[in-house]
Amino acid sequence: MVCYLLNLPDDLLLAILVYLRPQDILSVQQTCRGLMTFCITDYLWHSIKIDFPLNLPHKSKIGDLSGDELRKLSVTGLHVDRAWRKNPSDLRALNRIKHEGIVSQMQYLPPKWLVTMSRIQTLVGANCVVSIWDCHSPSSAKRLKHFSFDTGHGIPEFSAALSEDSLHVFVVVFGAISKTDILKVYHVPLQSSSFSADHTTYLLSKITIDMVPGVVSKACICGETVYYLNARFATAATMLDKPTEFYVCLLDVRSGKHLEVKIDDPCSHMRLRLFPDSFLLIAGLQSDRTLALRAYNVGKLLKTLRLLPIDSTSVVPMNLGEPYAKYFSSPSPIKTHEDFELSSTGHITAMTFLVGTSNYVARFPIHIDHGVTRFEPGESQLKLFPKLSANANSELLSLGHSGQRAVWMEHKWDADNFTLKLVKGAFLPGSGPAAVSPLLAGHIALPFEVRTCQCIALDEAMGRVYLGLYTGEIYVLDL
Amino acid sequence: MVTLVTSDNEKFNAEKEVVERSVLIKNMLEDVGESDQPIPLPMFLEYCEHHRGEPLPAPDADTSQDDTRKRTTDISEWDQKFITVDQEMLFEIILAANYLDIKSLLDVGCKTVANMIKGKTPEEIRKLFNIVNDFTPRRRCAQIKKENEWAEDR
Repeated sequence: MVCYLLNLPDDLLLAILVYLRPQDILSVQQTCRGLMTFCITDYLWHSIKIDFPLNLPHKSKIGDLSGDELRKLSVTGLHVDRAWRKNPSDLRALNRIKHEGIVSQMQYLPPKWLVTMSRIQTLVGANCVVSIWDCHSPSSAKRLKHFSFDTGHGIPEFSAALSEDSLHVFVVVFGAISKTDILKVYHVPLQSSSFSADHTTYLLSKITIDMVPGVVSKACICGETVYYLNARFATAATMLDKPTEFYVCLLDVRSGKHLEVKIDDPCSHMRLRLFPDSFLLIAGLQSDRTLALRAYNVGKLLKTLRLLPIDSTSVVPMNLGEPYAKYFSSPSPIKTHEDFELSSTGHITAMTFLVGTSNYVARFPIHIDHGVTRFEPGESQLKLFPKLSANANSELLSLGHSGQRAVWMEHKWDADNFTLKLVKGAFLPGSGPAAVSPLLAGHIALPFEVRTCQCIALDEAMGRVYLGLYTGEIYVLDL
Repeated sequence: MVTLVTSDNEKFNAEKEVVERSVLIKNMLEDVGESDQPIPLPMFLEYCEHHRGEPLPAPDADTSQDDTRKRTTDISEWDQKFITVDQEMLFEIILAANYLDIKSLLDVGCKTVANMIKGKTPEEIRKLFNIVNDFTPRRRCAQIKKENEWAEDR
């Protein structure tokens, strides 16, 4: 019997295999020795489409890894994918991390870091602790670094990012920090053995209320630039009928140079995403319930920022210019006061927009072509995904890094009965429906009360859910 | 009109516009060359006849990395019917399409084989294509299975 497949020249065999999914390549590889060698070639793995989250090393792209490394990552990724699709998922492992205070916010930084913020009430306000945990193995999670500072009665927020060389974590704390400071950037080394809880050791730069009036929100880090939204409300001193002004602010973390530009057409609940190639996306909800996305090239602004004199606080008269791409959804049942989440992008270059209460989801393909980010909003659409129970509200939304998976809490008042449920969602590429189901089977008893949960972080690629509790504990659920 | 002669002296008449879908024949017509590669000519003509008038892909429209996102294995209904042939013929079409340089037909052939592989277990793939399991000893086969298995209960 002739094997026509193996008699094909290599280039034609490859032309066939690139149409396969990773799971099929793994099967073909097991058929014979010839195909096994063929199926671990780098070219093949770089050419096929991998549409599930992979636990890629920090900053690496698919093209940086060998075929065999991608094969191993895909096997793990497929295991997680399968567990995630189960309705409900099995609980493979449950671990407890002993924390302190009230865990108010957590962020997972692939490949293994968990950054947390907790509060301990004091007589005059609260003591805020930011900690960085090594969660490679959740059963023996280690707190590598932590620092604390006193705050007033408000709750500050933070956003963290790994540095380019993976040796430091940048933490930007913003909001209600103190009477004078509204944003602080910390630079925490992961390697050095020196241990200090004094927050000034790691402080890199800060923004005070004198520099930027108004409210700071949605701060994020891209490379060594912190970007955030600044809202300036009309005060008695100015004209009362003056509308609130919104600014995009950029801060160079090392030099402390700072730049702000006014947003000409602001909307509510704005979110910003800055990409390494100076691509800035502004998302928001308009008063007529449409979702608006605008993409700008801010290369000039970033260049101006770097050329500013040291300690410059002067306002450079610049504007964002015209967006080079924009998208407006048709008016939808999104309420304008609803909050939403915007994903980052992983190797799957798409951005997910998720509205909690209305249960809307949309994925916007973002193409990175020769290092240039392009945004093609035309291909996306706003989709409704089912709520598990009617009249339920969603909160504590945690969207995975690539936006393909999310976890949240659904709560519902039902004739004096208050129920809480952990829910998982999978937003698959293409036009398929979003899959939403309970995170855990009803018979699984958790060693804590779900209502004590204050925040959720999701390790999308490993299928791991971190729950931060009011009681100062973190529970790690492996699905 | 062009007359194509097969190696066993069968003659086929076809319009120039139709056969020029093959970059090879197009080039041959330009600088009259010769070749003795056997090709399933009647099928090839039927394919080109059906797709006449469709724009030919630009010569530099090669598969770049960026194309992976657009890669689907969807095949149009007519093409699907056309390619429903036995395996020997299918692989001959792929070889001929490659030789004649008809990208669209080559794509249809490759996608068809890919669709045959999709969702099958290694044993099913071996059976389908008469692949001999040459892993020795059997232990090695089990080890590879363990390394690559992601759906335990399949």
